[in-house]
Amino acid sequence: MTQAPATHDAVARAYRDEWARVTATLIRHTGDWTLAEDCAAEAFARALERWPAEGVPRNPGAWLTTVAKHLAIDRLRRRTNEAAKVREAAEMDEVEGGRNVGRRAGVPLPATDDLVDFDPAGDWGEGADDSSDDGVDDRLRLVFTCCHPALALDARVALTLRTLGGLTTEEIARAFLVPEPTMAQRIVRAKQRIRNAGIPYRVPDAASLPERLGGVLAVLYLVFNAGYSASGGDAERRGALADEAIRLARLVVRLMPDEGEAASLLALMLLQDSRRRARVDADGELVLLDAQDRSRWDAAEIESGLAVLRALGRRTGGIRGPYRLQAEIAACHATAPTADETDFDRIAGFYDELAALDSSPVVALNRALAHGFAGRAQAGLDELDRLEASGALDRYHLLPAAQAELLVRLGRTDAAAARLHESLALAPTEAEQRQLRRRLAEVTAR
Amino acid sequence: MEYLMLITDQDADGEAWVPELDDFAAWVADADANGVRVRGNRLQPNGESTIVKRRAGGLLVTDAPLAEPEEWIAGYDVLETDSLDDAIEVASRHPRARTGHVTLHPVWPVDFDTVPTPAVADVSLSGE
Repeated sequence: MTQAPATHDAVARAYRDEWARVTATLIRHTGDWTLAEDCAAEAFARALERWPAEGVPRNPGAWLTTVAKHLAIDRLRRRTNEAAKVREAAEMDEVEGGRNVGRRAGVPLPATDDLVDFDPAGDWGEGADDSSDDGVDDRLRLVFTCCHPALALDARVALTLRTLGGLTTEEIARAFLVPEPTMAQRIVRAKQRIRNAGIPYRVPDAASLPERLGGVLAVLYLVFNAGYSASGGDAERRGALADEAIRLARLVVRLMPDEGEAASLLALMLLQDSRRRARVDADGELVLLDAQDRSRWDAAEIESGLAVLRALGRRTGGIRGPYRLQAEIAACHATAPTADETDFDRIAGFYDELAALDSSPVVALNRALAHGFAGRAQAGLDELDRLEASGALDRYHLLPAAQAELLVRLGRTDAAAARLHESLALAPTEAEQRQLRRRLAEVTAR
Repeated sequence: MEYLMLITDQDADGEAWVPELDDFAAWVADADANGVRVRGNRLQPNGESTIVKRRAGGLLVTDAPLAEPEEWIAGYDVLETDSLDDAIEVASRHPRARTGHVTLHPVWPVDFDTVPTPAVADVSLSGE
């Protein structure tokens, strides 16, 4: 039994690498998401039992898919038999003249669409199970269906983590600080909606692919940010969420290697995540970018992010999407030896490009700040004042905080302190409030 | 899948109606040619609708109050497509998707021979 820990590792690795493949394949064959998840989970449980004795199979994914498939066939056969019995009973009732007898006796009639054209012995073709006749990887169908825009955003997030990521309902609930029954209900509801609304299990056609891919990436980035922003809750759980988002982004990049924005999002996540340890100090306080101990940044992760960007730079032409531009900006920060040596001119240039693609006021704010930090403090401040007058960022605490930083650069300490007070009154989390108070103390001490 | 597509005219944030651009006839011809439109039509103007209720055995008929512009149903189509994505594709090209909005309601087929609806069950129970 000395090899047991090694086999456990192999099962854990297979879970990370193969869960999505096994589940996605089963969904295509059965059309039943819950059945697919249950059988996939059961297949991994069998692996834990059998691999220590039998050894790790040469192709763990194929082994798991085959086991899961057989489990699904068994369950569907049993269901078909039970349904036939219930139907027989219902017919008997009818003969006896009591059309609703079964119903009143609490015997649920089978939902006929549970068994849509299912033939347990049918189209299960051995072999290349992770892609169907059209050669499309089932995991890609799963990605697009989980992130379908007709599902509520929180349902997309939950389903992506559960069915694609293989997280348990309990893990997802804990990560989002939601009671487990609430999260379970959300997932059940999302699956119902997929069936009832007729959401297809397929990759969108070329015409709608760019928009739909944008939706997929938005879900992944949302998961990442839920982990990254780490305001409240269990920091470790949330770190796991960021890891999961990166893992899923890698999967999407592998499945769609030609989509530059997918790779850009991966680079952006890696570069931001590289600062995870430095964002919080020993006392658990939030540390802003310019004050972070850069030796605590994860150099290997930065290098991975930069490598993705280098590969993109070689391949893609002039058009840079929003994730690409944000990743380039993150790369500027990641490669600056000190905060003062940050190339804000270059960053401001990227923000100019980004603002042309994305008219959101938050982008406008960051663009103004970048120009201000690039030695154009007055111009940046004027732009922030215009933003304030527009009312688009009313009650957004980072607007007065940004104004304060540029006022400090202009030597207008009193005005800066007043803005920090404004920001403090609006800051949503205690960690941010404490950070602002520290900044206020620094500014007024000058 | 069958979808009932309900159409509103003009939303507050909708774009302006452009007669040269917004061609109902072309949309209908296209949808019919693709075999996705089962039937459909426009409805009489806002304020021409009638509400019918039965309460305590009595019949209550009233004229429907004017609906909010964004809630008033100006027309409908029944679409038959393979999936929601195909229905969305057809709906997205309807001229009113630009000026107002269209809502896709998935039809839930009922087979009275095998699945008693709550209404049918209630009637039979109360008749006992």
